[in-house]
Amino acid sequence: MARKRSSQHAAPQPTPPTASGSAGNPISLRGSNSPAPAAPAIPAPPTGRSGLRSAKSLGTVAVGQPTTQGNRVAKAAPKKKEPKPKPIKKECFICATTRQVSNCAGRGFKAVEGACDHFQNTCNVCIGKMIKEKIVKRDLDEAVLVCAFPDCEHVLDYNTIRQMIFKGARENWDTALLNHHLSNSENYVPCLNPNCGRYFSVEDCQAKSSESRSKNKADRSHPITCPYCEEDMCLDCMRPWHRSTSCDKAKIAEEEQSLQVIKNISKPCPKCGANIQKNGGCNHMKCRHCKHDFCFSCLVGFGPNMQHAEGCPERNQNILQDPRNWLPDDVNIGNWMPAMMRAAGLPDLPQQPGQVLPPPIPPPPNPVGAPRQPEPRGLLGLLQMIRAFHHNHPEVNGNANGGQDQPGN
Amino acid sequence: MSASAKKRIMREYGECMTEKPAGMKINFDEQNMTKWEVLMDGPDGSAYAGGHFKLEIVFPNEYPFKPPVVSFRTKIYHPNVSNDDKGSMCLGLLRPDEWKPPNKVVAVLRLIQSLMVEPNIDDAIEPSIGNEYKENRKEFEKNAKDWVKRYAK
Ligand SMILES: [Zn+2]
Ligand SMILES: [Zn+2]
Ligand SMILES: [Zn+2]
Ligand SMILES: [Zn+2]
Ligand SMILES: [Zn+2]
Ligand SMILES: [Zn+2]
Repeated sequence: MARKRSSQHAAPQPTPPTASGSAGNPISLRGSNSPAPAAPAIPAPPTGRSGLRSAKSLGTVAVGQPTTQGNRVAKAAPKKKEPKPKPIKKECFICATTRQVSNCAGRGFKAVEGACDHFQNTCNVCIGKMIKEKIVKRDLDEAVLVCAFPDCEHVLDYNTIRQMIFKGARENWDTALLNHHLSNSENYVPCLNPNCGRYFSVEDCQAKSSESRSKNKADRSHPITCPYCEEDMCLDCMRPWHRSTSCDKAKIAEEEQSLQVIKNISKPCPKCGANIQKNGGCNHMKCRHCKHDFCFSCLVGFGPNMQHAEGCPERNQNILQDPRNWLPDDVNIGNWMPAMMRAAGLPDLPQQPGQVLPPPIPPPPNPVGAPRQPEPRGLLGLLQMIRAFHHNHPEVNGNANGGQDQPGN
Repeated sequence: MSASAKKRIMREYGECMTEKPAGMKINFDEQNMTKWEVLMDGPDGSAYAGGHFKLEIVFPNEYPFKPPVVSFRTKIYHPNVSNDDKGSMCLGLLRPDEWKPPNKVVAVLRLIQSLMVEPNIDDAIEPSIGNEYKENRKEFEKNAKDWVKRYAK
């Protein structure tokens, strides 16, 4: 899906290309500077979805009339004789807050013709927050909002949403959409200067860069210069320009520097490579592109028998590997443990009087980043055997109640 | 937390009071409404029957745009509950990418009840327990009941 663009990069913001993807659904995006069209040109049908499926509700949910969904309107519809119509208020289905129906963006409710009952009763503030969530989740393939209520697939289109949310939210969304679609296009790269961060066309800049650096001898790396801020980058490894150092060495240096930071914020999906950002929640992640389940900390895929990689903080949370869950501290394993260990093909435990711990789990060959660890069947089997033994021989506990361990909390 | 998030939580608590979902009791503290304590009975017919489990539901500041965080404060032997001092759950609609703002806590509590009847093995946070459930159901039930006796009575 290489996309060509030949406009001058003197423009403050490049005009975004249409959305990529084989579905070929153009998303009409404009830079935040361009004005909204006076009359909606044929509104781009929301991709792959039913669009105004709930057109049946058109007309029945005219603004100002109580909806049938139980959320009442505070005041009855204004009588004609009254000079000033009382503002119509209703309660938002999402935030349970009562707000006015108005045509201003930001607060209140906008009357969206033909929208489903749910969107009719979702305030603009909540719409803005949903858009914010989409930005945070990088859910930017489609510039629309799909109704989140069960069994409703109504879609609010880009233009409608823009008329509902605050200017700041609008601009953030536009920028995020723009960058998202540019970054999906091979010929665009983001500037690495954190104060710039704009996307620019490689093709346009390459010529200029190679001219200015024609003295570069063994051309093993190719520099490229951001047309906006003149930041130099290496086109081969997409790092800040590293002059005489090779890309490999630059990579190692960078990894050492920023591994910790990057590790905690975003990682590529181990299956499809999509950028996954963790913001709160547990380490069990699901890629929103390919639905792959994996541990955000060690990138091992979830599944029965999965084993977190060595060093992963989740590793010891697997119940059968947690010594507290199956061995009381005072069990005497002296007689049978070595035999079991040998049976499982493991080296004997070092004798540590007074302390009994399960055998260390052998490190997987390629811990971090490996798509899938070999399953330690042998060891798990051993642990299960030990546990079974423990159940069947409560007497080895030296503990009348059958080896009760302490609650973890 | 915004006023509207609080309104929404209040509204949901009100709904819980009218609906009175079976098999659970919700402790609500108006001073700290972002943290609910739920006492849930092990569903009849499940391995957890007869047990009483304390759960904690914490609402994020961005609620309802982000999911509530659910954790078992009572130790439970279950493939979908992490076996550590967090007792965390993270699956289905509790996942940040699957949560939708119209979802309600009641739905979350019902999900948990149904998971106690039938764990979701494909989404196990404790894969070894999930595997045991799949391949050695007797052993699983024995362990689960054991833990109910130890921790949830
Ligand atoms: Zn709807
Ligand atoms: Zn709202
Ligand atoms: Zn730049
Ligand atoms: Zn390089
Ligand atoms: Zn993926
Ligand atoms: Zn892990």
